[in-house]
Amino acid sequence: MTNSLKIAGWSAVLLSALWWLAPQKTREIDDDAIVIRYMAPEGPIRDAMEDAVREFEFLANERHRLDPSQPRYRVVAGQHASRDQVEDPTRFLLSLAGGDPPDVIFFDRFAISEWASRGAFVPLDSFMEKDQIKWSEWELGGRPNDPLALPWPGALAEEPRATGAWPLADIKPIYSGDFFPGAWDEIVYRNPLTGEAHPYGIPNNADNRVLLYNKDMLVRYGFVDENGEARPPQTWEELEEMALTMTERDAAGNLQRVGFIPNYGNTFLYMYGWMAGGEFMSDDGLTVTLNDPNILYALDYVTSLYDQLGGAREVDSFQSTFQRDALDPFIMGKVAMKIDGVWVMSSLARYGRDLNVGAAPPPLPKAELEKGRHPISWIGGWAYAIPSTAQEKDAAWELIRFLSSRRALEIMARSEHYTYLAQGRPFVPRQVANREFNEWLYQEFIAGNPALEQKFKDVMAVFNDMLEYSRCRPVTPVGQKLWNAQRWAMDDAINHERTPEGALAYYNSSVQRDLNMVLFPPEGRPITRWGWFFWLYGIILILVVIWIYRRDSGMSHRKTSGFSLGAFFTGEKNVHSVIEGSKGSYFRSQWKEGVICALPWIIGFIVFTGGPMLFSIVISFCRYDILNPAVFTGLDNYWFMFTRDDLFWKSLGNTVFMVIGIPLGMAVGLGMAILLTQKVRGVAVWRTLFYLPSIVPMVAASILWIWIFNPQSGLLNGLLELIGITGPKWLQDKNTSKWALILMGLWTAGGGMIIWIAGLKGISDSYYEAASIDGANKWQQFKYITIPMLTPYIFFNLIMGLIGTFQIFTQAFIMTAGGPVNSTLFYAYYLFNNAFRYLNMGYAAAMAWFLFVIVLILTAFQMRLSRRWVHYEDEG
Amino acid sequence: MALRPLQMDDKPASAGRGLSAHKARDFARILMIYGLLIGGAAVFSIPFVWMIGTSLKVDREMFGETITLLPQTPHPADVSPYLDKHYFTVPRSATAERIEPWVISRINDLGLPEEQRLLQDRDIASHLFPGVYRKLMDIMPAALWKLPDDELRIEVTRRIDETLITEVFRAIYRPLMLGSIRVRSFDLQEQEMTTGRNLSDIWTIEGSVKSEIHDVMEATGPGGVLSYDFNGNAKPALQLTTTLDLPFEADRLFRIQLSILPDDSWHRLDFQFERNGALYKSMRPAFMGDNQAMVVTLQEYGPEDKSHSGKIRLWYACREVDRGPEYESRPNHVKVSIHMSESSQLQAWWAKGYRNYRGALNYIPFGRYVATSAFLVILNIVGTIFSCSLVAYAFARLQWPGRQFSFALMMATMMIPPQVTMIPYFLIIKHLGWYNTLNPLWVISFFGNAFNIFLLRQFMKGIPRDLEDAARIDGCNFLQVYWHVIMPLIKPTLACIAIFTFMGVWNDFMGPLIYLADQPLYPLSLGLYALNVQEGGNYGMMMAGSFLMTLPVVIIFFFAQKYFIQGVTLTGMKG
Repeated sequence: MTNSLKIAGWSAVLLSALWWLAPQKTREIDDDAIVIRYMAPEGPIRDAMEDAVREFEFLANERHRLDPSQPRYRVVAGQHASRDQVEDPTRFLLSLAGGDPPDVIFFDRFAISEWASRGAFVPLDSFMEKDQIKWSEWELGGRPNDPLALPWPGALAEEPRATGAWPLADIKPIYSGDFFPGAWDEIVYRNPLTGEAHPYGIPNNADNRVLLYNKDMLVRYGFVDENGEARPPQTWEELEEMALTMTERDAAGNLQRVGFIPNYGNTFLYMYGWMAGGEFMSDDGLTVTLNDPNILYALDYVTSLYDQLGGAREVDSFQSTFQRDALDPFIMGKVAMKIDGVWVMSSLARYGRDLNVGAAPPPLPKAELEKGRHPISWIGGWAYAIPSTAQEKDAAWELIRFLSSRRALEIMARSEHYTYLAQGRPFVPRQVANREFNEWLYQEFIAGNPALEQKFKDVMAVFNDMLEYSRCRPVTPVGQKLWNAQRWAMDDAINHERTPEGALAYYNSSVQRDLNMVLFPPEGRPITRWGWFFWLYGIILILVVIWIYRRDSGMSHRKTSGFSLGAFFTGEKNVHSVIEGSKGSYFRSQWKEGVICALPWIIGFIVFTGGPMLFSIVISFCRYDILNPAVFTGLDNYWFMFTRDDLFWKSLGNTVFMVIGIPLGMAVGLGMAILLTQKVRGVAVWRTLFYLPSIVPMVAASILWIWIFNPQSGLLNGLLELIGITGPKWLQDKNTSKWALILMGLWTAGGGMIIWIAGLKGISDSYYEAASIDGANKWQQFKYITIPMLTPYIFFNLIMGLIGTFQIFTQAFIMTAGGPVNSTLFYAYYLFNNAFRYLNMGYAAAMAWFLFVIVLILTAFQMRLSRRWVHYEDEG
Repeated sequence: MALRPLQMDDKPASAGRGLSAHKARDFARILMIYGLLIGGAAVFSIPFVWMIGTSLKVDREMFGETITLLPQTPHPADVSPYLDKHYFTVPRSATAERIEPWVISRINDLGLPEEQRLLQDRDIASHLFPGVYRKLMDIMPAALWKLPDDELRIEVTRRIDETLITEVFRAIYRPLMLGSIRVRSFDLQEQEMTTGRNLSDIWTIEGSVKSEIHDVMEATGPGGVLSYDFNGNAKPALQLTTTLDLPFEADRLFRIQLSILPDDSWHRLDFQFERNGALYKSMRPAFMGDNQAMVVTLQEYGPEDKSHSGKIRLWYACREVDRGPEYESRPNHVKVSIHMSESSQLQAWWAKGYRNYRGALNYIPFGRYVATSAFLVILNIVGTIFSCSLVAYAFARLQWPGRQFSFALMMATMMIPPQVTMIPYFLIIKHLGWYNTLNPLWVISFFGNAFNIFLLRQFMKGIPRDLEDAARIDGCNFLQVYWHVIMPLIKPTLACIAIFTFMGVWNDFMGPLIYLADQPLYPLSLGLYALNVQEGGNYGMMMAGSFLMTLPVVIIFFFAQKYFIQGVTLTGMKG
């Protein structure tokens, strides 16, 4: 009685807590307003965006007031939170697949063409033309005083609505010529086969790269002009000489300062290739030309520079830093020059007040400069686009037009400016792709900002001057693959995995193959209707139920001693107990009970898990990019996987290597558990301390780990040095990178520790008492009592460790991005890349099912073996 | 930490041995255990200490020649403006000693920047030396340092010029500067109240402290350096007051913005304003740390403060505290005052620690997010514990057709990487109408989770069957057996599962990201992400946010771990 009262009491407390905690959706809905959903990044930019959006809604309301046939808008800037939809487009892809995409998305320009080629975005030229015609008609018509004649709300520079506020600019049509060429080119996708070209996004912000240099260091080494001012390099040859001269080593031969590191900052092979006059794609977009001789020249240059600095491994470990912005070795004066993007200005202005920084156009090879070429840079940035399945396309365009106007830019820039100042931080606005607006931003917030030091203004001016000469990455349906290919080619070359020539040829052919797959897809039947899928699922379920019933209830007179997957799997002796049970009423009575108890899982499986699993099997036989109907291609994916894809085998090898971590993790976890079940004071405190690493969020922990593993200033090598060992390069060395991750895994063994503690505490003291009366020592007790009694837990950890290891993902995703030289490209990470980055879901599904088979076999084997060594109390 | 007394472990087996040998062995054992514990704790608590340390740092501590785990001590200054003597590390090398007199005489020859007239400190040259020395180390080639005295002196002197001195001086000069004042009405009417006026005419100073405003034309535009000297005052405080003639009605006043360049003194500022006969006081103080230009926005406590919107709270909300004829009541007038009071060393520490946490809490509606996370955690734990224990009971103990097959299938579901089942799963959720609700984030837990079921099954198979049979014979049905026999026995494992579930839900980022669109529904894990994406990085704030997120887990773990040792009552059951 008291017990049930207690339960009722607790339930009441719990329910009221839940009621109190539950969030309410507070969203008032205007019945007649069109809702525009907008996917945007988080942070201060979102606040700024909301300020602009309120203005948009206000203008639309005004127009509606004057002309009720015009719509009112409500913009919901939700659906964000993925900082970067290109790095991790899962969120966006799911909303597309679910038929519920946002109406406007803010997307990396570089990926626009890749997605547009698969039909993900609406071409925008017709919208633009309509606007331009309307605008010129209106200007010719000359009826500026009639608000109904306005082409769109806010088009006319009206009287500022309040005196003292800044005057608000017009909202004009969008013309391609208003943008920097590099920014506009990137969003125009030209179909290589039909020659059709359309813009698929409206460029918004921009970022380009220049050479930044530490004036003090240049002066120190005598690289000065006639006035004694630092003189930056203009040619690659000068750059090389300066880089080597300014590099210093300590007595132990470790790098202390480096003049210049080719790939530190933001250059990649793209930039060097262009500087050397190379092209990565042919003009018609049909051929990948990564093996262009000019690109080879560039890669040779980069490789030799790395070699002269002491090799890529050494240089990489020097540049790997504690924290991205603050402890930037350039800001700390440890790197004299780097080529980097305009985004560094924000942290430079914040942390680099002591740094005497200058900027110059990136150098060219001497031969190219003599041809009269202007130095070049590389521009990236984001754009607004409309998904092709968006519901409110016209409204979406009106929002894009507004967000691309100078008025919106002003509102956003001022809002952001205020945010930064209120936090006591300097504000350096990013560049924008629109020429005129960019100049306005510069004058208003940089040149006209008295709080910003002159040196930063000068640097920013160099960045802006280079915008006209900035190129964008090749516009192709295989942009992401090409991007990875040029990165890996450089990685391989500077680490001497392959010769520069070999690396370029190898990756060239692999990207070309992918391009051909996209341009000339193999024949196959598209699957457009999925009704049969549910029939199939239903039939399979019914068949399984019938089969189980016949088998387990003994209705079939088939011999039961043969192979049975179920028995094999559970590790139980055989199925006889069930068969026998079917005869006795005691056991038969358990049928109903068993099914009732298992019902939550059975329902959950049928509703939530079984369907998706079957779906992924079907998909593994298809070419499926999520954006278009799947095309049945038979065994193509599997065939390609086993015979053509080196990275598949590489990732599998890497993953299998990580299995070493399982026994180590178990040993450490068990050791900790034994230690923490001793009779000591303050056991709660100790347990909590040991458990801490499992609690710290991965993002925070990864920053710390990068520092711990830093070969020079890191904690780990510091400790090793104390005992006279020179530590390895850890994350920068392909031979130790996996060990570093295993070590990191051990450190979070506290997570498994609590299972061990529960297991240890489950062993009755009476066994130990009996044993010690019999004269067994501690070791014998451990060996003959603890270990056997723990076997169910050992078994559990083994199985879960196996499954977990084969799905290692986060470390690679956050810390290493698969490098160096693909040494941490794990299976699940490669699978993720295929599924969401290369838009190759069918292939990913095939990989998943192959992994499934491997793990299944290994697990079943373990289960089978477990009969010999796992001791269950209930089996006596 | 005191070691435990030695009365434990008096095993009969060791009774025969000599008492002292026994004691010594026990002592060694205890020593080893504590040694391991302390060593392990040191290794395993590094990330936490580091996270807390970083969360207490200001921007400029995050770079420098050496990385320190712990933040630097704040130095509350009595006299301002002043020179920050801690900014550059004082060099302690023979070379530094050698060149110091030359550098100082060179600085004296060249003269100091104009700002120095406001300094009370007259020993400026020697305070500049560490900075100049570091600058010289940067620009002089290594070979030159080995030159004989007279030549080195020439080289050093040649490189020190006015630009270099100004640069070093500016780096350590700490003035408290007042800048422009802007007002804004609810109709977005905005005006700068300081245009064409001297700051010394705008502000009047009250208080016992010796203080004065010096008008300067600085790089930051027209400003006023407020000099003050707190020495010789028991409770030093001063108040700056100004009355503004607004271009609009005083009740239309939306916000007042004050531009301030704080010195690095960590003194406390409180704000208040009077209008229409009422006095409004800021609900939180500002501290003058980190010498970076900032804007203080005063606005009346209003709907924006009450709502749980995702807007970053950058303003200082002010509440009406008093009303009366003594307060400014002319229409179109507002009286603004800044109250400054001295911080003790302790208060300075507190202010510094509070800084990033305040920032993080202002950045996101923390309370709302925590409530949502707690909501999800409770439902998930309840759901997981009931469904998983029930299903595990079916798998471990009951005989039913399809048991082995189902178990194999359940294990198989864990072996499929979630990436490939995500899309159809999402479609199911959408068709259930659960998109953009919290349902997909908790309902699933009521259908069991393979990992936990497997763990519980393993545990249950370790329980002797006799107990259960006895209960059955006593007439318990299967649910009673489950509830009265099995549940009490698996408590330690359930505690484990509760912890795992708690952590999984608390830290889950992908789930909310995929299924939620509206910001009011965000749990903390997703909401906190806003802190990570600010351009230029804000590590202090990010770590403060991470710490706040981690803290509840630590506390819960601390209190939950005692349940691991409960429920071990198998004594004498078997063998």
